Amino acid sequence: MRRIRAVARKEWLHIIRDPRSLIAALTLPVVLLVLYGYAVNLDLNELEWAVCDQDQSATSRALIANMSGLERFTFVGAIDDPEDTEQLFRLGTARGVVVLPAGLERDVFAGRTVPVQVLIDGSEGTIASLAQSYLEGAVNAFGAQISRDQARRRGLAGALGGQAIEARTRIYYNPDLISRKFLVPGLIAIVLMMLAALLTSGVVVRERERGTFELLAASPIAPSDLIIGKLLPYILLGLVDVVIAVVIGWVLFDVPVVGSPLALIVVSAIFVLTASAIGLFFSCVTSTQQAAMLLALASTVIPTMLLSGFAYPVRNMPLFLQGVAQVLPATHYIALLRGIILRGAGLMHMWPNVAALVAIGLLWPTVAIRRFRKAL
Amino acid sequence: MNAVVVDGLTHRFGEVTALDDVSFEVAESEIFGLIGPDGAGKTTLMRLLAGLLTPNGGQIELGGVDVLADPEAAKQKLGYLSQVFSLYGDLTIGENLDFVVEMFQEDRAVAAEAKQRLLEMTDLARFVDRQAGRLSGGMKQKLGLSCALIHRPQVLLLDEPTTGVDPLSRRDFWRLLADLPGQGVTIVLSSPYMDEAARCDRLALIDHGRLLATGTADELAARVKGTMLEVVSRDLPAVSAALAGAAELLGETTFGDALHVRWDGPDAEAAVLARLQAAGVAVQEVIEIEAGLEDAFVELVSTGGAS
Amino acid sequence: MSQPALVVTDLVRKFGDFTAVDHVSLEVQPGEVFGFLGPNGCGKSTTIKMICGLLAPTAGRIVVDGLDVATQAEAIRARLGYVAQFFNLYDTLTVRENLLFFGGVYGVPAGELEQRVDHWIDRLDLGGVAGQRAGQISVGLQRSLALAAAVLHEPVMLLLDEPTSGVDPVARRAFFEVIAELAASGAAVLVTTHVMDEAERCHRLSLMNRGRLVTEGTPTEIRALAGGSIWQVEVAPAGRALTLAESRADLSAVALFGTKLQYRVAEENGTGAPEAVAEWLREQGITTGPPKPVRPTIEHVFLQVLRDAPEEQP
Repeated sequence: MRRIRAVARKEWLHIIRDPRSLIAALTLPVVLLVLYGYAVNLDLNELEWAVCDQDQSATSRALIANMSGLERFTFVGAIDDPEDTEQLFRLGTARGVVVLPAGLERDVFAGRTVPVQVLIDGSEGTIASLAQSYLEGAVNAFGAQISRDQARRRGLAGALGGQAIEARTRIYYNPDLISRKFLVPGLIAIVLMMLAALLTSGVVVRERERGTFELLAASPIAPSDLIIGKLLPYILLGLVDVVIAVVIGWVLFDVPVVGSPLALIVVSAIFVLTASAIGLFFSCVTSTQQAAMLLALASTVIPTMLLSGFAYPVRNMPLFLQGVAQVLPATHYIALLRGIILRGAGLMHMWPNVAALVAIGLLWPTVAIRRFRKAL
Repeated sequence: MNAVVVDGLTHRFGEVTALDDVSFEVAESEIFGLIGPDGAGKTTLMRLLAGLLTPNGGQIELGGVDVLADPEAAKQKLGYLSQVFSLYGDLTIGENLDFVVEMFQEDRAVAAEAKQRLLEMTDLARFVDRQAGRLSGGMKQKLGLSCALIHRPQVLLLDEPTTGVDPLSRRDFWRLLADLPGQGVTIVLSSPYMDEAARCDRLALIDHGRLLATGTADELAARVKGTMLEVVSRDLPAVSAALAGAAELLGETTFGDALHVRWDGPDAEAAVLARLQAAGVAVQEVIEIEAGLEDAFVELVSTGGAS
Repeated sequence: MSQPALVVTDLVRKFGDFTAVDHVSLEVQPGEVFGFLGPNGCGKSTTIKMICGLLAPTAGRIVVDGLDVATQAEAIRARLGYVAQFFNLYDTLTVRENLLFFGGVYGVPAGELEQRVDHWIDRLDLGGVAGQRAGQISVGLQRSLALAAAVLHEPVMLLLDEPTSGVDPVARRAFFEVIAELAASGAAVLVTTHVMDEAERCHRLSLMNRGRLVTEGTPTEIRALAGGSIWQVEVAPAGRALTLAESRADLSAVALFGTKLQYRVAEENGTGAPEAVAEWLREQGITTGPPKPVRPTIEHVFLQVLRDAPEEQP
């Protein structure tokens, strides 16, 4: 224990005596998340939309008039055939098309709920998601209003909850629409993965490069003491990054932590431990800092980005890649983060992910310790 | 009892044999010097002794512990100062020392006392809060020595401890070492400097991974054949030319304003002077000087230790 | 007499408040090996860098082969060969490729380049490693390579900044033989060192301390500056003898060489003094042999000169 403490203390001193990497470690999550924040926070100031009115009734015209009057809604015209939608999207004339089916008025008066199709240009994910919610909102609001009017006319209170018209959305080009809430936990994981692996990728190989390794190797310290001691301060630093990232997600993205902060810290600690151990592993097996850094970055960030379910759902991947995804710590961490942050789920309910994360979290430090050679 | 016993030590790096069947013993409280040219295998030998490399063959015993069988126990008994500065430049003198204390799991109260004593001895106490990277070369070496000594090792291994350190700091460093044998510490050091070799109790000459000779500085110097003469003249090339071809001439080395001549014959001084006068070369001085370790070194290396 | 290869007049270099080089003046003649001796940080390397034109002087004048460094730096560089303190050739190029490259950079005529490179590879015993990468050869051979690269263009003035630090005696001897040959063929050589046996090999020496030149002369002249006489006596136990000798105010340069104690006796203490010291040691319970005189070395003088210098700065 004494040696672990001494190594941890020494590593901590290295961290705080090197302001450049400390500042990088603390500001990088801010920078990455804020940059992303600006990127996704593009407000949709003007929503160009078109209509395909196959009903041509008083009700359909009322709906069009109603929506045209809404703030930010710019009506660009009507098309006769829903097939023309793609033409509009390709030219960029409209971002959304509302298809009012024939028989709309009849069915509304008959008291049935009429599905109204909303077609969205999904090529620009964030804009598409906004356009979708605007158009759906407007259609549904109109539908709800008709229901209320009908109820009032009939004097039937029971129909209050009814919905005369309901939007059914179909998104072109990008069926799995990315949403901010969905992205933030993944983003936190990627930033942590990258930072933790990057920071620890130097810690052993740097000692070899600077010659201080000889002092360590000539002392009777056990490899496990050294590796664990070196990991501890970086886990602490990683947890500070977690807090920063979560606070930014909350403030900037409006993604508050619904679940238990303690659960969040616990799973984050295991994840940071794993990511740091991966960096340390590369530090043990390389002979230059650059090589260790490159390997750590390449082997953590790229698979995490592509395979962890950060943006692309794991269930849509080929079976082999799904298997790969299961051994990535980020896959489980992201699932857990989404559970804790978005849904307020408890760890008990997500025990497979917790178990997998713990297993991977034990594996990597063990690998690093076994690959560490106390020889020159 | 011998503090260090090396028997039949062999180490290869791929095809290259860095050390070839090296055996020697170092008595307790002795200062033992490993002297040899660049690439002779000195650093490899030091690293083997320190347990940083595993040899291909042979035995090493340090303070009664078999280094190969129990390297960690051996490390507890030895202090090692590597050729490169191996302390943490961004840690202060005090922090570096504390770190080593924890590595060796020394009793903290005893270590605190040892730390204070070492800081005073090395005159580093004033700079205890200074980062090690900001120290001069000589002070870095003193700190390195302190770190190697703080766990009170029985054997101290110093790999070229004063290379690149100026004479003033070297003298201070040696003054610190001089007290250690009295405290029961055995020192094994390597050095490319001959004047430093002369400060050791016993020496081993190494070349191409083989041990050429061991002995005191005097014993080794006595192995130089012939008489060493220093000839001071304003025209050294003429001196050289006049002596060339003499059967008694074993070798010569040019110094700034003098030529060192090794002469194998009776009455060397008179013989050389006569020969120079006969050639009409004006000389200021011809005096007999003691053959130095450097001469012994050069001779032993060139003859492969056969003399 | 031909014009001096190097004339330095009142050279000053300040770094902020710190005066690294303080009114240094010196002259080096063609064919001369001039040694610049001093402890780390005394200003040797700073002076060399100014002569090379790598660093601008705060004040003073440097003239190489009749050309002023301040105005004709480029012309001077073609006349200079410089071996830096730290290896600064290309690690990933072979020995031969390095030499061909530097020969080209210094404008060695293409027709002669190969031949000169071969000559220096042969002369500096680099033949065995000519095809190896410079980063993979031993320190001693790297030094030889650096020297070869510096002399390919046949410079008038060769500047060597601690050229053999970390090099063993055999290689050092060979290195200085080449330097002596270069000087004999007319080049002027300025070499900084703090290794005493290198200093012994110079024609003239200058001792530098804290930015100033303290003394100058041939090695024999410098040795003659040693005051008093130096003695050596076998002692046992050595450690205690050393402590005892150090306690005496009338002895200086006290040092232990294995079991031999060395000390300097001031002239005014008389001829009986060395034996009296041994006698006194015996009275203190030390076993001693008879004191023998030791020839003073440049190191003795060097340490004597620096003894009064203020304490070492961290």
